[in-house]
Amino acid sequence: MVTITVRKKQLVALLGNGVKFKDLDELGYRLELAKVVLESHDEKTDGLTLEITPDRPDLLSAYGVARALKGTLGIEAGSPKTRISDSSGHKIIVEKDAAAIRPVMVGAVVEGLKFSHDDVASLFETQEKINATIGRNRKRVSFGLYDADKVAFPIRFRTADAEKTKFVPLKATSPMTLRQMVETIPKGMEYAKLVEGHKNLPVLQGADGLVLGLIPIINEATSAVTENTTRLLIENEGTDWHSCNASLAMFCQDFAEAGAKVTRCEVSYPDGRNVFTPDTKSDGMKVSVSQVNKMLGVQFSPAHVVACLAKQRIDARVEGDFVHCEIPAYRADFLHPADLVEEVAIGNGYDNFEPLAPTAFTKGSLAPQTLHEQILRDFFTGAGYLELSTYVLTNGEKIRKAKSGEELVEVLNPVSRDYSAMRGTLLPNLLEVLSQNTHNDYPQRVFEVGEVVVPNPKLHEKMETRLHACIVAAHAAASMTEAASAGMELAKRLGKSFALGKFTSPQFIPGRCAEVWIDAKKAGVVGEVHPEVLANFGLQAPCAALEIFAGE
Amino acid sequence: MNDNELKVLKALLDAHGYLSAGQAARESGLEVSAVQSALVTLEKMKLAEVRREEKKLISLSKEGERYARQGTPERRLVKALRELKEAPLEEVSANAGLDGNEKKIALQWAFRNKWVKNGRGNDGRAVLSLGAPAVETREELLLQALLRGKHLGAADASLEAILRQRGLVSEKVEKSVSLKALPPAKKALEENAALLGQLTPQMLKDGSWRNARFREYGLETVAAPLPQLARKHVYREFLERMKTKLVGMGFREVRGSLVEMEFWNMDALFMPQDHPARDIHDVFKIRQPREGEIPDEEVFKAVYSAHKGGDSTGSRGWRYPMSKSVSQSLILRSHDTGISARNLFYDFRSPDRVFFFAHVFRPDEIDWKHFIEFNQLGGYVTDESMSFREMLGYLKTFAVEVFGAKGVRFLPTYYPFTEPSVTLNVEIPGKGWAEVGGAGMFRPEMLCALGVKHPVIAWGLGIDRLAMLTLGITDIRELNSHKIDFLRSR
Repeated sequence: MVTITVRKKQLVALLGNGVKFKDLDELGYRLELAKVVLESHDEKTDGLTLEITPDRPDLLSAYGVARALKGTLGIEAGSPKTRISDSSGHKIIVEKDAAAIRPVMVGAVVEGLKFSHDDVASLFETQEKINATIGRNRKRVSFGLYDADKVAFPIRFRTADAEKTKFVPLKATSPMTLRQMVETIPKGMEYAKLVEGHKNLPVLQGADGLVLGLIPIINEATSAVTENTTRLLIENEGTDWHSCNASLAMFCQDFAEAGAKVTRCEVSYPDGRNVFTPDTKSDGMKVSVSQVNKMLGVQFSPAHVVACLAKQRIDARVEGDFVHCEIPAYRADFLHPADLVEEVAIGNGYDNFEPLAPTAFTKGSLAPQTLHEQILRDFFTGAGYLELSTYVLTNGEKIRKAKSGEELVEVLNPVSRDYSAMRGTLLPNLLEVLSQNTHNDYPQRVFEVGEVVVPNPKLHEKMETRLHACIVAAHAAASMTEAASAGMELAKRLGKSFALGKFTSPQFIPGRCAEVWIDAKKAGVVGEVHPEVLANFGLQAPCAALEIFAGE
Repeated sequence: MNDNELKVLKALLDAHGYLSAGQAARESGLEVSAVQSALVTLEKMKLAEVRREEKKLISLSKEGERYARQGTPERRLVKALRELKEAPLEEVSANAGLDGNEKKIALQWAFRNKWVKNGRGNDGRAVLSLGAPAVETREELLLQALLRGKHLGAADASLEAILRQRGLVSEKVEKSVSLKALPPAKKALEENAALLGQLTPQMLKDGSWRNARFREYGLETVAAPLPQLARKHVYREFLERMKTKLVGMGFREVRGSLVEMEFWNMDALFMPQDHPARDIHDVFKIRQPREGEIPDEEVFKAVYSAHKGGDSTGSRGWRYPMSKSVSQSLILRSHDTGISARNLFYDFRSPDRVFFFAHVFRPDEIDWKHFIEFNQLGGYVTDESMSFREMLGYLKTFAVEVFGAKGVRFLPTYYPFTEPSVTLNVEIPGKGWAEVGGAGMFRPEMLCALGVKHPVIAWGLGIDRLAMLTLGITDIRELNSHKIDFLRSR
């Protein structure tokens, strides 16, 4: 989940109309109705920490949250009005080489704002959050902000020689080549993979020759946005037109509502297209009232559906059974009419739906494996064994200590060496548990029935999840007789035959272990654990163990 | 009175006065612990008087003992200085054999006692020289006395505080119990001597039980803990109860695979391949082999087409070409919803109620709140007429049946595979409001690709959290506790 911090005072002021909340709980409740979760409020800084769901990047700023709240509170209804005009002179030319790496480029210029230090900081915060979410860590969408007074139009989106092209990147003091940036500065190393394999790297360059930034990695220092900036160039480029345009529209909507003059840039693509961005022409989407009612299980009138959508800041009109919706350009989350149905539900308020008691008849049952598991667990508990539940994740060291000889199913990206593989047998885990309990009373008799993973090339997923059962008795007189008898009695309980076959393994004392055959199928092993294994686990009590495949 | 109580009482009567618990144990031939439990009963029956005392014992700490034997650091400093007359600190401490920490202590106390002075040597170096005569302090005397085994008196309290502050002494409280017989004891013992402690097979055989009188048990002490108790694991038992409830509500259980292909775990749920939750930091992968095999070319094509352009659903889709190699990538199941996708494809029925309990794995910090392996309880419901309102009905049923909730709230939320989506908050009596689960209607893009024609609602409950709440466990790792005594006692 993504969180943002906005000042409570600012948020309430943005709602206008003298809106007041009785207390924090009421504000939290109102926010929840708009799909925003209030995590905390810091009394000292007045900062509200808000959790935003990843489908709603348009809520990643105070303006966006206020916009949504105004809808659910009934202060404003329908799509917010935007005042964005086409520019006369801000042109971006996309060259063919750059378009091959980042095919989409959009931009706009914002004027007439006075930025405070806090404004600049929150602008950058929103930018980074959008890059991270809808931008998929800058892969789909990556923003750049510039002081437009330092930029000479038209600007070009082109590629440049990585070894020869130089500029002073943000937070640096001397010029560096593009190659040096990619290889040495933190942002460069983090995002290098986005331009990997290209000899010439994408840059944005002003008409005066000043390179404004290495795309999508880092900007040039002198054209950076500061408290003194009065005209702002905001651009983003990426791989998906819809995501890029919607992300730019989010910013432009915020700026327009803050009272700025926003003008579109004209973007010329190498294929001859000329586009004014952001394109704020609403996307149309329609949904039938009967589909809304069927999905929600209600009998809403078309007028009510329209009113619910208006609360969600969506303009809609009725045409026969259909509701035609104008999706604001800043909403990036509409893929299917089902998304409109959710907007209707949220607009109506989840609390206002009467839950419907389940109707259909279905037969309940436990999975066959679970029933089998229960038989085994009842049996071993009755035989005096204490049930354990250990983790599936284990490590090679433990398996080597236990000499269980299983083929290790390793995790490619473990976060801890203790949990870097999946267990193929249960005995090593049980021995480990015993080793952590040497201070407790003996005899100790423990068991586990649980899932293990073994390679099986015949399966589509190459790994088989199997059910195993394992018992260990640890005490001064622990013997193979004890463990084998438990196995035999269990087979009897299951109505199956039980036999033992000669067997040697470094895990057990030679001559005091066997293979277990249940219904003429090899099912597992039984024996007295080898003293060397016991020593590996620091155990001073003899142990007898039985481990069987329990899947049938 | 039981046998042990009788034995103790007899010992007390023989002794004519107070016996310590240890003495009573020797006299009665019992363990001290047995005497301890017997005296509780005897005291309650007003047959014995019990005197409980606590004694504070002061003894030397390890450091204190060393100081008592070798002298305090300040004393050793002064001794060394006496030979050198005046010398730089380094030289004096080297001669006195003081290490870094002791040097600091020595200086601090030597200056406080005014035993040494700072000065300049003939060559202008900073040197130490002797100050006031270093008379043996009372603390030093006390250290010596403690070393000889002396007990501290009240007059030593202020000194003891200094020694304690310097970490030279430690305190131990010694508890002692002594007891003596009260007047009714004699009669009680005589009456009891005629009573029998055990019915025997012989008595049953020869019928002598008819004339026998049996001793009464003390109801406070007759029951004792069973140290070897075998029982089911507390979490697994909790889970069994949950499963029983779900079966009672008409749900059938299905199981899945611990190792899964990204295809079933994510693609089939309409999660785009560049979705943040699919990042290498959020999913564990298998080292070898890296990829499995897509089981069915048709279903792969259908899911591919849904991602690309929404297939025939009217969806815009995610507008990218799905990579087969990513789809086939083998991972440790990262959530339980993949089981839904698999089951909807292989075993679709309608109406149907399905549940599953799954171990799932996700890279995370490891602490009391998070572990990289945890459990989910989830499922789905299909029905031709399934609706959002009926989904709320199921959630409300869970809230009441599973959580015993008295209040329910539904909040909008987001899951990549459902629309609309809802979070379930419940008010649990005595515990307050808690977020306990979520649900949603599977997206049309997902259902279309899997060939499902009826609406399906998916639900999940935070089972580990519920278990912790119910069982009073505060550390998530305790759910898989390795502590045998804890498991035996729960």
